[in-house]
Amino acid sequence: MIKTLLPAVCLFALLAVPATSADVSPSDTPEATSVGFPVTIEDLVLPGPLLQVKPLETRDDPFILRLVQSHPHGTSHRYTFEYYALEPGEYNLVEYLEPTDGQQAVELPATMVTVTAILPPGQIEPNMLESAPLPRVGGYWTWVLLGFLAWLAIGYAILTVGKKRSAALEASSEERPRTLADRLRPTVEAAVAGELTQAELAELERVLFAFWRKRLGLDHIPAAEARRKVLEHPEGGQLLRQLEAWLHRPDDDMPVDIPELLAPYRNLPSESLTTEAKEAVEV
Amino acid sequence: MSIVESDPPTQTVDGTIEFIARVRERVGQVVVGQDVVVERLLIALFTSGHILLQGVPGVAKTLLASTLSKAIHLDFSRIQFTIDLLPSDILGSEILDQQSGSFRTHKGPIFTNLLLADEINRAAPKVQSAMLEAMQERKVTIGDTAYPLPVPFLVIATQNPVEQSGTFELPEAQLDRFMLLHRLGYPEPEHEREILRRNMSLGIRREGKGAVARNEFDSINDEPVGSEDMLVEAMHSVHEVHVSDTFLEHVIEIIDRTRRHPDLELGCSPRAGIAMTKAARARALIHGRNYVTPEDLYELAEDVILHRIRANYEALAEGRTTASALQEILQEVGA
Repeated sequence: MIKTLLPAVCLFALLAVPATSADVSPSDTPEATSVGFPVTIEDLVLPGPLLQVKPLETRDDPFILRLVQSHPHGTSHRYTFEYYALEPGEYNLVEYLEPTDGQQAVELPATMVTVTAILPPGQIEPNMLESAPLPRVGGYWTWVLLGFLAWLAIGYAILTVGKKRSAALEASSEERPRTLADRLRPTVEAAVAGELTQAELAELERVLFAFWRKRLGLDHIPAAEARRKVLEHPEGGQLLRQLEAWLHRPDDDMPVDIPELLAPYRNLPSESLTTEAKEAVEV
Repeated sequence: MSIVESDPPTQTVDGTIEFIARVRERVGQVVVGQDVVVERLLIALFTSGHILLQGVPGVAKTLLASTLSKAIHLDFSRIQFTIDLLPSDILGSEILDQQSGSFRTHKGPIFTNLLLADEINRAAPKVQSAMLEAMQERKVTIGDTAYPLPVPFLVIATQNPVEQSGTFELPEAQLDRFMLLHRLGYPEPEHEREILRRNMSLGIRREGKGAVARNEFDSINDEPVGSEDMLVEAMHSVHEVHVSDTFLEHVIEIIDRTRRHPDLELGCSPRAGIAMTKAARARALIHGRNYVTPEDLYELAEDVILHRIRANYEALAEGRTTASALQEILQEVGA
């Protein structure tokens, strides 16, 4: 019987040990803390009547104690305190306590707490941060100068590219005819020489029609109406009818003298058309 | 189906020109100031194309078609397109004969020479496609049998550009089936004056014990000025009109430019080039020429090309239209 109960008794004893040691006695020394860090002491049993924290008399007191809660504990009381210190040293908690009913304080066991300092003795300023300095890339004026140089470089690049582009455009415009009159001359020469393909002959007809549209100021009216008006014009109409006879008629009833027909368009001055068109529009 | 070569033309081009002049004169007796529309109708008729007339109501579209059909002695039908129209209402259907217990075919109004499809954009897309398919193939399948449409067969469709609510716009692929799309405008003041004068002199028509006010349809002369044979001769004559290589180059260039123009997202299909050449030939004949000229191209460009191209969003946002793009194309020279 005893043998069978022995394990159970041992297990009960093991479980009971922590429960009994949970009561903090005054002889227990709380963990040390450092300056400024609050610490809580729980279940501190002090004999005698109910105690309270003495009110602070000066603002220079280096130790601040606060009563969190209290409970009756037989003839004693069990307390939970929170404290922090502003200076390193050893402090006795009971020195900061007094009975609540104003009676004579009973002799309380000393309850010492230790507050240590992180800083070396005599040092009251925090340590300087040991951070590496950033690489120096220049001050404000350096950046202003760099920005100005970049602005100059970009502006120069824009101007240079623009000039090159306009120069390229000028060069290309010099390569190709700039006006209808300029375009007509080589086409007409090739037509007189009989060197044009069907597609080029069609192009010649369109260019001649466009030439007369421009010449009579008919650029902004529908093509069909413009053609009717050109046909009404003595010279323009004659040209279009002759072109029709040359390029579209299936028979040779109306033989066309091509060199004579195209003679007026072989040596057209480039600017003449613009002037005449303007005059036509004004009229 | 074998293609039978037709007999060579027996009528001269001069005879055809006279026939055309008589038709135009007859139409002119009833319809005032629509010479261009009559010309376009004849172009469509001579080339077996179809024409879409876009215009507001009351500009004599039905009167035109009716007068033209009577002038050439052609069958004429009119269909008013509505949202609840079914394909069978146009094409026809098989009907169960209660007495014989068998199905018999009922041919729809599409079986005619001249069909006026009024407000085609009011029909559902299914109906539009059924009709446009029949226009393209020139035959209709009812049940298991395919029936060829009468010849000549010309569809004159109309649509109102103003009232767009409750309409189904024809997509470009279907618009492409129409050889020409002509935009009808209001008549000129002098033409309108003549219309009013004629209308005032119509009088009344006695019917039994009562009477009814005569309208323009009552003034149509039922006596034809030409026969179907004359129409066939005219169609022959169109095919004899000379088209120069230079003209073909003009057509190719313009069609190509519609495909490259920055304002257009849809250019012309090869069908547009074919339509332009056919229409130019017919127009040349109507104007008494046996060869086409650039004038034909410029005059027909809008009617042949505008409904086949579509402007892109950028152009529309900037207020540019297909018409302005086409004018630019016609004005440009060289690549």
